[in-house]
Amino acid sequence: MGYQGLAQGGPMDLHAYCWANYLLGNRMYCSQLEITGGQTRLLARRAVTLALTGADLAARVNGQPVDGWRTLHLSEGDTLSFQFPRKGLRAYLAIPGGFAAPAVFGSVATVLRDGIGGLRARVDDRGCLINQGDFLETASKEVFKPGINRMVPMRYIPEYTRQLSLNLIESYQARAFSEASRNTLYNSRFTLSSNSDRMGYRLDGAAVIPPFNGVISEGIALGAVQIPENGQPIILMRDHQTLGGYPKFGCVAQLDLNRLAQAIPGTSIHFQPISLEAAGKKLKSFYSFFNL
Amino acid sequence: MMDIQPVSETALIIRLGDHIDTDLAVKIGDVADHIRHGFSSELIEVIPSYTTIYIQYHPLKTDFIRLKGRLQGLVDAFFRSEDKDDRARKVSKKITLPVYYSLETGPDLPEVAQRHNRTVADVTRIHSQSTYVVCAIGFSPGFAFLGSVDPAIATPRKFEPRKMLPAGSVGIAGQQTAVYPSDSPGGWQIIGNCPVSLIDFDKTPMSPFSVGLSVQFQPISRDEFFQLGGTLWSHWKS
Repeated sequence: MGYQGLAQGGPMDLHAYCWANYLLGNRMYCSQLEITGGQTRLLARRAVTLALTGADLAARVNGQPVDGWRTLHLSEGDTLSFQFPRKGLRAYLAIPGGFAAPAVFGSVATVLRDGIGGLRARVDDRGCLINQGDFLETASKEVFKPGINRMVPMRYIPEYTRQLSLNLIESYQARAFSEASRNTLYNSRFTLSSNSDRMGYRLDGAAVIPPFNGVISEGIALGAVQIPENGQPIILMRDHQTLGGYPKFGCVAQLDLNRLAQAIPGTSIHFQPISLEAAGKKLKSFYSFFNL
Repeated sequence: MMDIQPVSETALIIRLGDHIDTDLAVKIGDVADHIRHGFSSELIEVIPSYTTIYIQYHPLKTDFIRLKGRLQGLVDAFFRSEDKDDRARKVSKKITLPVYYSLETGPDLPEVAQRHNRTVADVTRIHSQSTYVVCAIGFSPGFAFLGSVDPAIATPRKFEPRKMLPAGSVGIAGQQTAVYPSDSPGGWQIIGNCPVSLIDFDKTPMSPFSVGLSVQFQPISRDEFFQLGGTLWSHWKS
């Protein structure tokens, strides 16, 4: 629906999201909760099997710490809580068959800026999509699967580090940038700004001077690296606007956006070039593995 | 001109011009519709805008090389056949939107008028006399950028954007005009209000606008504004 200005939305960390559905044998479109930063408490109204992936948000069941990147089982009355981010920023919580949520144009993705998503498909009077006391309905009746006990193989569990190297596919206006700007982009380290959200991640660092201040507004791809007048790059994330008029140097490889989505402000970021072919090959194997 | 370039592992952009031109926007809107209908599940987004068409595709269902070949053929063929029935198309795709131009719905009317040494009545007359073309849709769902505003009333955006504007506000920014489909922050010069709902997430399509559509504004009275469901907003700060 981008041609009518609607943002695409979707899980910020597709890697963690896909693994959570995979652990439960879910189809990949099964909806999950993305829990950003913790501070969440959930009560099991009946026995339920869960998969928990992504950030370590100090998850506990009835006060006892539990590990992520695996399935777990809750009994009726159990409490699952998330405190604060210890590693990474966003945890993913999947249940068999997914959560029930009304679809808007075939999607249950939440885009707060557009006022779409959540349990009622719209932002309510209080400006909320999910409120304290809400009951999260399940899409499937069978959500307790004691026979499923799986964990993600160690080699697929990412380290959420404070230093990140991002592969960059050069495209859009890249060729118009000066040699000096290109060197600044590739040879300096940037810091992830706290002024970042699901729409865009802002970086602070040496100014990458753009070749011009604006371009005629054009469609923006996920991961696009916009360079506004002040030379501080903005990486466009899942809820990005559909059109933009800043010069763009290219796009961060999509698989790298998953690690970036878990980065906390202050994380040190470095860019390195990757060919479209190499990045495309990696993305294709990801899509094939998860049957996306 | 036509240039097709990859932009990411799953997206490409077709460039069909290098300056803003409402005739080109009409063509681009039609080509984009044509592409949307001519391909099936391999395309995820087809987003036309001013001089470009952005396309996002499924990386397992197609690839850049295959798409580029097909798109080149399709766009070429389209532009060749387009020349004949160009005019007919333009006339057939047009909507008229009612606007209550007034100080109570358009607090920037005096600023726009003063800037050009004209009266408020001149501004509303000139604004409603032109036929506009949707050149792009973005900023927020259903927000259509319309070109081109008569230079006699074209006015730059406000220095300080407003934190909130009511839905239906009709604005001018340089040579572009638009109706804000929902309450939103915004920096355009507000000259009136369109009481008709322009966004509905429960409907398909959610918005009456598409790139290339012609739009005309019809001035209406205060009474007509209320009859059409218009409401006044009491929070204007200039």
